[in-house]
Amino acid sequence: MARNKSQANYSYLKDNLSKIIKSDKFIKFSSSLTSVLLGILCGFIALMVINTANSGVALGYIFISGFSSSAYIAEFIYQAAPLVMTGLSFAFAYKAKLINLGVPGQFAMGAFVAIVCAINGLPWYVNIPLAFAAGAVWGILPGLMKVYFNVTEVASTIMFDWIAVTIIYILLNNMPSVLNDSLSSTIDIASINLSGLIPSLGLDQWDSNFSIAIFISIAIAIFVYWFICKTKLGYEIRAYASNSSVSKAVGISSKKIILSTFLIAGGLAGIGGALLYLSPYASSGYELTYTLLPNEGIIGIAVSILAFNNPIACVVAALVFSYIGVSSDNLISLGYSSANVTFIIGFIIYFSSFGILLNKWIRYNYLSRQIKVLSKKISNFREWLFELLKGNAKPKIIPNAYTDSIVEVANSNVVTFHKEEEISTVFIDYSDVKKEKGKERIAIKFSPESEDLEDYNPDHYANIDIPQLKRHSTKKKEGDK
Amino acid sequence: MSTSTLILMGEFLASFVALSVSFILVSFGGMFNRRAGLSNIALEGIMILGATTGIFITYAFSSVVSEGFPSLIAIFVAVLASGIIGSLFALLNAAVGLTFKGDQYAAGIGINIFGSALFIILAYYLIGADELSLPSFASITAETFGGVTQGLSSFWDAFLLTSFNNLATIIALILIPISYFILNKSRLGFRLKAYEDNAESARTLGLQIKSIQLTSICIGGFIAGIGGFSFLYGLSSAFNGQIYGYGFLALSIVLIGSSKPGRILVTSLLFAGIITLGNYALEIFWLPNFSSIAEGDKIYNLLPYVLVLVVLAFASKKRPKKILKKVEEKEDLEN
Repeated sequence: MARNKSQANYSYLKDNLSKIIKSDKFIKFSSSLTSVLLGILCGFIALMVINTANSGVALGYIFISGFSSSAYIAEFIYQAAPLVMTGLSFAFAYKAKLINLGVPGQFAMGAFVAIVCAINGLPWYVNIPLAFAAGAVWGILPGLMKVYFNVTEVASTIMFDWIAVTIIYILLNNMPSVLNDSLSSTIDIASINLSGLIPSLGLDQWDSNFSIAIFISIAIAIFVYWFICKTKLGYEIRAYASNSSVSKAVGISSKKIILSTFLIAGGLAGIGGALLYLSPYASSGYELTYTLLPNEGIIGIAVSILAFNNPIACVVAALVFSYIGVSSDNLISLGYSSANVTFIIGFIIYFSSFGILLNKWIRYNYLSRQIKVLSKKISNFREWLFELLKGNAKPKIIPNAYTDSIVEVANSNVVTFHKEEEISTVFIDYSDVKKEKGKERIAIKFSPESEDLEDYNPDHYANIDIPQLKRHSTKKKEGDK
Repeated sequence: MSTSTLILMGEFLASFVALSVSFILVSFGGMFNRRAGLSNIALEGIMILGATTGIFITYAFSSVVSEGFPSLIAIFVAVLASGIIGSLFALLNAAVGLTFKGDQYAAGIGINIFGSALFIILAYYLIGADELSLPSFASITAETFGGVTQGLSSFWDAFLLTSFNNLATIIALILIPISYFILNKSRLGFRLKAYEDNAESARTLGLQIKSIQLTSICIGGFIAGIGGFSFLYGLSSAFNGQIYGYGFLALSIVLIGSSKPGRILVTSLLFAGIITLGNYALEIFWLPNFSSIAEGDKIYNLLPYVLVLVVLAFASKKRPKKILKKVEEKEDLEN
């Protein structure tokens, strides 16, 4: 009894475990984790190629040094907040199957408006909505082009990125009051308007660089999750994504979906810009350039891909990326370049696309099925090899109506069988070999009178598995013809 | 006209040729990818990787060339290597997008970011700088064939010497008819078309869909990689691992040209012409130079992007979207 009980417990556990392992979320999580680890592994190989002696220490730095001091912790949390927003932007657009590569441009627009407003004396709780508005305006432009001119957003959003960066460069150059002395970046907002910065609400007691930016971004992530899952518009967006023609037939306007999605996605990226620059940490300001897209925007896309476009997972992915980024900064002291960071993140992103592949593999049990098939093949082969070594490799008879009549299987070419009180011997015609999955088998005719008949009657045949070694006789037959 | 004006015209035409060559090569590469069902947003990354490979291989050869190694062979190796790297990464993208039915957009974005990061890290590690320009022997001049270079004295000097200093120009001139031939006259081209027309019936007829797709993607990546290398010749400044969205511009050219070689050729020439006009705007007297605005000349930097948007708006409206539709349908099925 006791044994049965423990067995039942075991099977219950096993069932539940397999349920957990087979659940969608677990597969996604494990494949994301695998892709991050694979990315770090590839980055480690790159580190070894560049400087073998220090690579082990460097790998340790990547994993640990982000937590080594409160300053690092403050920095990676500070850098995660804008990444959460840009990740949310891409993820939100992807919920409607729209590919928003315009995240860097929307981010830059939001940052520009937030900085200019903050320098002109507006408080932070006004600046952030204004940044949302700026990003939303820049986000809705490709949406309008898609709706009214049928321009694919994959091409147009990137163009809007570069347009945004160049326009901001020209505009800022014409606002000398906003720039610092060397005209290379915007001035420190803290020195002009402290109310323009996001407050720390006492968190600065722990580290002076803390602010509530990360909590704002987490709150927005939860809001986005609620919006997609619980509201009418979110439902319509998901319906549009899963089948646009059916959703159109039900009465969901694709125009409304595309425009509102791009508007909200752009606005989220714009808030990201505000969170990055309206912080006491951001003393360096917005750098004037027209040859680079803001890195936060690009990494945000990666965050979303790694998070499988889940708003809550975006927070975790952003923290992972910013952690890797900040702790990789320490590699410079070991003789590596800051580009290593970009390199490793590039690896992680590339492997996160493999994460989707891993996901599919695990979901369809592809790997385990392949292993089963392979092991079966191997054991079959081993059995056959033993038989062959013993010198009696014989065809295996598969039972059907006529197998009873088979008297002897002499070797793989000759079968003797019993038919209507006569014993006759046949030579197997190997030209008839039919391939089935993993097996080769042959059908032997048993009734001589049906020899002339063209049609195949399974009752007149016996199926016999044959060892694969005797294939040469098939070739001979073909050669004779 | 004065000699200086003529030389300016020659230089203008030469930079037009350089730009259009890289546009033509990359967008032809994109066309081959797109016809195989891969909507290739990794084109930018492939360009960067091709340029990176080319620039580092020419650097590796520079000491050997100074000792008398024929520079033409060195350039040829660089071009070949950039093509091979291009096809390798196109295949990686295809592996994710087509073979394993993953997210090809994610893979493409990954390759894009990876490409520029790879350049920066290699440049820092090997040379100790964050930007690089092509060594002087990489341009084909009279010196390459044992002659002596003279200053640019006439229109023809300026035009021919600067536009055919790039092996990729010659390769492009050869590749344009070849890709036309591959698409319209060869067996591979017909099979590609059959596959585009109806993938299921092509499969039923016993065509090896996978191998057709992969061959096409290989060819496309090869051409696009060379295009990335040739982009270096059109750069006025040193290469810093950025292509400024020109890969996406080439992608738009493929969309505008609806994956047909003739249309792509015309579109590439149009774009290259207008962008070159923007680059030379300050030296052309009848174009405004916006001198009243600080950094006003950067307005011309907007030109290619705005132009693409406008042309895409006109081209997308009427275009029968057969190929695009196929790709989208495929993606729908996959998802």
